[in-house]
Amino acid sequence: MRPVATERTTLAQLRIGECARIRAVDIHPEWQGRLAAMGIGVGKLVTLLRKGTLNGPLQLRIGGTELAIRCVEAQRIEVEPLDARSTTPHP
Amino acid sequence: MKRVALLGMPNCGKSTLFNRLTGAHARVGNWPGITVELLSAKLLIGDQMAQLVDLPGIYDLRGLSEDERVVTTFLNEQHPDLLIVVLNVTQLDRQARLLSQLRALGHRMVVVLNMADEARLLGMQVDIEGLQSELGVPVCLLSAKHGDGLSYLHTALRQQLRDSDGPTKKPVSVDVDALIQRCISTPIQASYQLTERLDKLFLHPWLGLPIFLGLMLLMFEAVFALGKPLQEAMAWVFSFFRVELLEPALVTLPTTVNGFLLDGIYNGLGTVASFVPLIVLFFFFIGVIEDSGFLSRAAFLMDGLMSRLGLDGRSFVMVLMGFGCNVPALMGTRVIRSRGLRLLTMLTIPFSLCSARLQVFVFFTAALFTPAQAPLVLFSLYLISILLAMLTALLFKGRYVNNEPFVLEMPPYRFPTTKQIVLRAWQEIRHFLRRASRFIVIGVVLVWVLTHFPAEATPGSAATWAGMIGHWLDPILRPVGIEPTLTIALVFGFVAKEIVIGALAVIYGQEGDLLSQLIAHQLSWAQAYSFMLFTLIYTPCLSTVATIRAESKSLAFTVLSIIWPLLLAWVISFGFYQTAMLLLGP
Repeated sequence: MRPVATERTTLAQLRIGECARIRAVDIHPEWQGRLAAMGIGVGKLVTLLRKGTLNGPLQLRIGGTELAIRCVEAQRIEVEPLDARSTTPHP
Repeated sequence: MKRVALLGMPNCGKSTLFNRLTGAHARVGNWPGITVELLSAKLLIGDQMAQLVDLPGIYDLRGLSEDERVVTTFLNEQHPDLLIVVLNVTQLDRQARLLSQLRALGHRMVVVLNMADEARLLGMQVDIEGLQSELGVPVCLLSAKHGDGLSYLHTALRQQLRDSDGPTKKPVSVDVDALIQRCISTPIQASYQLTERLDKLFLHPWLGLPIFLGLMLLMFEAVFALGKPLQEAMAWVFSFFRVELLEPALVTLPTTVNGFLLDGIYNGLGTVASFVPLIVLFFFFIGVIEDSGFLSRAAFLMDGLMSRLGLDGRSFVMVLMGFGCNVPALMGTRVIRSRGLRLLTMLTIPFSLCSARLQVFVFFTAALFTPAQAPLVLFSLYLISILLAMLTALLFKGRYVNNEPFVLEMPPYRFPTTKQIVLRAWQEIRHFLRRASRFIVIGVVLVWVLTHFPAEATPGSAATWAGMIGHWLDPILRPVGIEPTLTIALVFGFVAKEIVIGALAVIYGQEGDLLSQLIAHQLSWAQAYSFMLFTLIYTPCLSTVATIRAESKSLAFTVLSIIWPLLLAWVISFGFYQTAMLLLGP
């Protein structure tokens, strides 16, 4: 079961095709500048496009950019899933 | 002379714009306080000559990677008169961050919104006037790839350079993010449909990797199928030239001088030069793959496996880049911030089968294997090259620990223009010829001297100096199936792999087809494969060693990066050769 909206949801828990808003980025300050420069910042809208095989990275779209990020890092990014009806349906 | 610096994030098309503005005249140069070489070129702007410097692509002006340090040092110490800030217009939502950082520093600048062609395809609307008036700097929307909108950039540059002696206006404080939202409108449904469709195939959970490997195999088949006839044609031209022109012309010279000129320099250089078409072809394919955005897909596919080896997807891409030449791949590790990850990646890159080694393998596979077997033999060497890089990472990952998060951009698939491909091929030939003039001539001359002296010895025999070196190293190389005659080629291969084939031509006193036939006659396939394995694995060349030293700034690491491959080369060749002997009999 997917968590209810009041619980803490991370980027890694999103379903493929699901869209969410980033609420918090809990990554060492040393790297936050680079993440922000790639589009991973609080308030941004993110869509999960695909998950890699063998525990591979996640493919995301944020604005005009597509990114790959590892699950370990995705688990440290808190998101707020948007209403499922507003996102594109996915099998 | 006025100094103009080009600056932007990775994948913003900065290098394409640099090439577009300067043509093929760029050269690398050193700058005080900066440890790496930067590309720069003279550029006529209006009636003023200016120097245009291409700074490395960076994400964050306050970041701490080697590249980011280079840019900040350059801005602080070289005081460029003008910055050209290149931003990908389709990704302004995040790239504007760099613009804000630069504005805060108070530099005079021209903003280039690149990839206008993609913005048009996506249906984006850009309010240039609005951006320009609120930012208080010239803003140009253009496509560096296709060359649209460049004239406006030239006008802006001319104006800014003319004013650059006056005081810099204090930047108006603007909320750049809000400004972008006001001035750029993107349709909700905007997406790269072609990229999405291709990704469904190339990033397929189970088919992705086999498709990727299949495409690589196809590329090597193509290089071989197209390159071999070209190389043979070149070899034929060189022998024709020798027999018809040089031999009659030089017949009056003393035998030693004649032999030195024809069997030494001409045979050696001619054999190496006949591989130029193959190299061009190879770089043509590598260039298309690199510019198309396919490499980041390879990184995505491989990251799961790479993370278990202590590396990440970027490391895999560097190893692939090393297939062209190890040196730029080693320099490419500057984007990696974590020192552990960077050193571990640098330790694996020299295993990638570079184009110089490819020459040796194409030559041997063509001489000893059937046309049907040859591409497969070649592909096996590429696989071994990747496997050894992985093995090395696995063994050393405990020593070089990585703490850097893996976040990688996946740009849309792009198809390079013919002009981009031609320019690139030309740059590679120039690089090859420069190396040739530096190393290969000296190497070939030395090999000739070693194989022809002392004067009373039969050339190429055990009594020559080369024979003595071969004899001396025989206890080490005999068990791996390498003949004393071939030893000298390996010794010089340490300097540069381009010399190996030239050295063989000198050792056997033959070139082209005759050389191939002679080698096929003298070596068994197992000996040849063992020789190729050794050549693949041991120290690639002096340039690589020098680059590792410069980039790692550690002598101990450099020594490790020489000793480890040497050891591995011997063990693997030994294992292969002895197994082959056991199974097939001597």
